[in-house]
Amino acid sequence: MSRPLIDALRAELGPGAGKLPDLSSVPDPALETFVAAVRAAKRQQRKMLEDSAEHSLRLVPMLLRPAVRKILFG
Amino acid sequence: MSSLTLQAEHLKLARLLGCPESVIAGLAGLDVAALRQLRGACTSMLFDGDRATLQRVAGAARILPGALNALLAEKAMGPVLASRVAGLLPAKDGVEIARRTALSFNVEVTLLLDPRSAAPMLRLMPMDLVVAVTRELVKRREFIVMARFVDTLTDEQIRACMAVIDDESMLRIGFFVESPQRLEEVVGLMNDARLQKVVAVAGRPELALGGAVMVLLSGVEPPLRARLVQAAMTHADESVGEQLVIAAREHGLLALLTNLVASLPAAASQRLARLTG
Repeated sequence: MSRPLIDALRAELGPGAGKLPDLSSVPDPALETFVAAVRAAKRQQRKMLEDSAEHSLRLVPMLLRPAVRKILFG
Repeated sequence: MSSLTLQAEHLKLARLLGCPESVIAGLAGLDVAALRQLRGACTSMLFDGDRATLQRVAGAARILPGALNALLAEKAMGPVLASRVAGLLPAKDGVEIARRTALSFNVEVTLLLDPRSAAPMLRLMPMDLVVAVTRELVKRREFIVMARFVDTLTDEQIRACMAVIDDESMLRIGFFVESPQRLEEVVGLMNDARLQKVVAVAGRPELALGGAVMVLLSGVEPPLRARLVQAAMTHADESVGEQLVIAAREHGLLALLTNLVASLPAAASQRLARLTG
């Protein structure tokens, strides 16, 4: 099951992609749309988490924020 | 039946990714098992990717008192971060935070929770909070989310929630419940009067619940199926039984009903035989 689009999907999904079903029956255009949806969901999830993390630091004094950010969020 | 479960899977994966159902429906040729596998991989991508970072936040929360954690969760973290950290906390700490935060915040967190990691915490949640959150989720018609928690909550919690879930919502939630065994257990918690109300809702064509009632009928074992069909066939409103037969015909599942003719009490059996004959 090696096709550029499946490889792209694996790359987006990361370690969870090990459990992928057989996608050989899915036509390329549909798979391409699906990969784009996965990518968008991942991007959206990351942005929500980043915004949320940044928002949570509002209560920390400005000077301490970089250090707290590093400790909590890496 | 597989077309109905396939439709439920399309909707669940679309909901998870926040994309139109047509994107998932385009994955022609994938059966229910393959779609569930794909959903599992997507869930893992969305919820497991930042685990190390979130563990650090959860670690920091562990050393703070519950009241302060609740304040930080609601006022600083917000529902997104709080929902991700919730499943990584000891269950009793998560419950403590939930008890001390506003209902609206708990509802937002519930919508974003990963039920895989939050299950132990959810089972410890106080009944009044579970019921209050359920009431809000029903108002918002969050049927997929509620179905996810059917597998997680205890029978006692489910029973309390069923009291605040209307009959139409019961069917719509049932459409998305994944485990047939759990569906059987939950439907089995309903008494005959409630079953009759639920099947009566399915008999209203304007609600388009024919598919949902068929998922219910085909997902449970014959004795419970017989109770459901009997409830429809003995309903004072004769159109309830008629609509059930129409739905079964539409979905190619008439045999599910005709197989029960011999096992139903006389009145229900005769009516079913007449409608399906």
